[in-house]
Amino acid sequence: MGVKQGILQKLASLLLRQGKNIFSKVVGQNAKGPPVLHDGLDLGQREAVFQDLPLSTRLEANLKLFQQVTGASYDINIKRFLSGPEKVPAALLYIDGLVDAALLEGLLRAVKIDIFLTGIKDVQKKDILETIRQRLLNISESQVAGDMKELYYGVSMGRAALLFDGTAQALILETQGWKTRTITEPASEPAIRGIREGFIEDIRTNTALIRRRIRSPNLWIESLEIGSLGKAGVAFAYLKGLVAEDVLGELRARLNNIDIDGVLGSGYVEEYITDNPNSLFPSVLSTERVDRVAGALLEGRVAVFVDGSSFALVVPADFNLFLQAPDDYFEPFPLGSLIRFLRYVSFFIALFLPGVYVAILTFHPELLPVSLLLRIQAAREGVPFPVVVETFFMEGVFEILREAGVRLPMLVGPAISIVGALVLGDAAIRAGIVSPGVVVIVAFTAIASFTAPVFSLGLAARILRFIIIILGASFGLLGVQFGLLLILIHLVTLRSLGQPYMAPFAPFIWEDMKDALISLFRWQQVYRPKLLGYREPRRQRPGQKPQPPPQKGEN
Amino acid sequence: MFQEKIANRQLFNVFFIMRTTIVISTLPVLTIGRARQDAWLAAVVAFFLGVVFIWLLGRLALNFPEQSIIQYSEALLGKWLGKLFSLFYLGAFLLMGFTDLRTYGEVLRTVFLPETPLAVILGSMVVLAVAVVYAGLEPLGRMGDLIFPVFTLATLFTLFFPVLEADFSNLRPVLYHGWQPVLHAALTPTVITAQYANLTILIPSVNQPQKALRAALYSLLWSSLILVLAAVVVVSLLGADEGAHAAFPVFKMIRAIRVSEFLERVEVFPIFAWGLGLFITLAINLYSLAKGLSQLCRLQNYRPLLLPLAVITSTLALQGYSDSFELRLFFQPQVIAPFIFFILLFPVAILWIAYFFKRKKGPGFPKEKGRGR
Repeated sequence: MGVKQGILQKLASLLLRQGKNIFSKVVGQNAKGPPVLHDGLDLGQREAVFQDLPLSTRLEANLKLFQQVTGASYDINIKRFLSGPEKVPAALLYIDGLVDAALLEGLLRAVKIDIFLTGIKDVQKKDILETIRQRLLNISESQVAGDMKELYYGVSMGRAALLFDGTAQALILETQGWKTRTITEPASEPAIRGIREGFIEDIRTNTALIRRRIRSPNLWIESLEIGSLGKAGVAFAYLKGLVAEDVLGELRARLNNIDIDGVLGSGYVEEYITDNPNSLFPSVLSTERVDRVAGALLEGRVAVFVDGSSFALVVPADFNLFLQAPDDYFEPFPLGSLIRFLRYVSFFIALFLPGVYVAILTFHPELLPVSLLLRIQAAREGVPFPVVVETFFMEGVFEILREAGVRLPMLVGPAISIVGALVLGDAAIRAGIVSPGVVVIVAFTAIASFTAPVFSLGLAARILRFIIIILGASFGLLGVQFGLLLILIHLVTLRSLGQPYMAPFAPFIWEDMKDALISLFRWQQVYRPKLLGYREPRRQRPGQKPQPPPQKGEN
Repeated sequence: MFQEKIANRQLFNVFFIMRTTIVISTLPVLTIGRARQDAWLAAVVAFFLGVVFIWLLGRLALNFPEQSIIQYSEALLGKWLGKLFSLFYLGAFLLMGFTDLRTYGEVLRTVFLPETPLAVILGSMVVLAVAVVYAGLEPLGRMGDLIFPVFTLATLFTLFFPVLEADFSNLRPVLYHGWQPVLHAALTPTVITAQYANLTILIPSVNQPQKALRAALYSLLWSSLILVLAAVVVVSLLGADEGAHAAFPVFKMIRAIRVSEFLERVEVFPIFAWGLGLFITLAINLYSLAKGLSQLCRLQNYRPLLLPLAVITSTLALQGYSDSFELRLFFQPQVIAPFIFFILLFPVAILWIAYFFKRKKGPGFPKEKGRGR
């Protein structure tokens, strides 16, 4: 059975290969033969045929083939003209919207008019391409394509292709110039004193933004293409000599392993390079902020950019990184530390407060001061549900409100907040469905959860919160403690590209505490994180504390 | 196989947490024997006895820094005799595991969750311990790192408020009944130092095995200081008699005080601390048990043993003692001391003897502190 199948497979593949060869021969020599890519071919077959289509010396055959391959799509422009004294038939291929019109204009001018003006006499049909390339064009970058694949990918990247009759090659010229979004402040991660520039969807712009901040020859940016159909450009930047080579090798291997049809955003790539796909906690930082990425690079991390996505990925990412915000660094030590610490506290509030509330009211009311307990009980008078149902209900309502708030068009935004805050909150209390205490708790939790500077970490807290509520309602504070320990156990097992996720807390690294729960003065942070930047630990000269100038005794 | 490593700092954390949890929650220096107001002296004495005890248990392991006691006992005593002694030894981990677990269960049932079934309390802890041990020794060490500051802060917080209201005249007269009751009371905390037997399993996994014993002794020192503090505070606040009759004196004390109008019940802090502490204790004992058993049976991986061992531990914790009085009885020195002597000290003593014999006899046997690693 197995043998038989093997033979069959071999036979089939042999036939397929033979067939392809026949096709390509037909195309190469005789364009009037049967269409290479008939409608019966499926996507995979079409791609396979497309991989291996050489250009012929006849212009018309090439153009016909190109139209067959691209289906004469309406956005692909073909401009035919005659070039040079010999009137060589030529054609210019480009895609509308991806090319710079001015550059194209200059290009056409060169091959149509300048070719006479420059007084080049010896333009022969057979070497017209080389002549033009070397002596006429002032477009800096150009390359020669020998087959349909190179030709198409060039054109699809916004380059223009020049084809001449009698030359089995095409000249691919840099004429890229598509519209990009202007650089704006990142909407999802605002910061008060942070850089106002955020990443955009164009990868070149993004890497340029980084290059402008770190102008070192050791800022290396490697690039590759991911996606069998989509062909998204992916680049990863790092400081050579600082980042650990094994981390880099691992990342490179993971990126090269990706086999996917199209990458529509950095989230796609994130799922392939994360260490813990099953974890609720993010182990890859995705951010729109230039300062975050530049800071991470200086610490010895790697940033991954995906073309078409305004989010860069930072690996290895630890838990601490997700609770750091740019403001911590732009404000001086005591203030920056205060807000950092506040964020840690808020994270735990967002995670545990409703669960603890439910646990205490259900199992341990004696833990509350009597007067407070009496007030809460009085407010709960007439509420028909147990505390856990109330809390679950309100938390659910809030989560729905929040999700609606993100999806809603800008104009309806205020409406939803009115409905949410006033109608649901106030009316629910008056109707006696929930008690004011629960609303206070839920609102406070919600506000606390908004302090997470990175969306994905807040998401983890949002989901786990419900589990903590259930545990608290079932087993009281013992259940909450159980949940806490279980989450911690999970967290200490996580790794991000091999780096322990909970560092510097676990494993505890005293030297790195300077930038964990608090953030010390910039000049006190002499050394890089121990697990990341250990190849070049010192990042600045120690002892740079500013001193007042010596007194001169002039009162 | 990949050898997991923990830092000496983590070793210190884990032993500190383990020791402090059990001696503070039961406070044996006060509740057992008749040391009364001299309980803190008993704690001091217990420290010195404990040092000797730990040295006896752990010093031999330093001669075999790459082997656990299960492995070197076979090397010293021969295959079958070694295995037999190892079985005794592993029994100690089981015993300590389920006794500590039951103690926690009794604490919670007595003072915090009177209506929750014991099985739920014990079961939740066993689940957590299995989870972390299944994840490995490194996560366990990291949990120690995470828990250590929280545990220490909560414990000190617990002992801080009573200091404000304490009446230190309760501590007098010192040594009214002489040294005899003090020594008697010091016996149980000394014997509880048997927890440090975990050292003999953990040493091969420690970053610097030669410093492991030192880390363990430091942890005993710090935990003894806290024990002294606890004994002083409890006696001065509750009085020696009331403290000695309480099942869990520190709790009784914390209930007796009232910090302020809005913070009346601070007992959440010690309960939380002991929950965290017991989790570490149980996890370490479970790890030693499973790891030791896997080495005894020459298994590559200890993880398949975890589930059965967890079931055995929780069953024994549930059924091993009928109530807290029986548990307290077990902690009487005349019960616990022979027990520990037989399953722990006796095998180690035999190992020491075998070690000296072998060292005299055979060349090629490790004479110096440790082969370089």
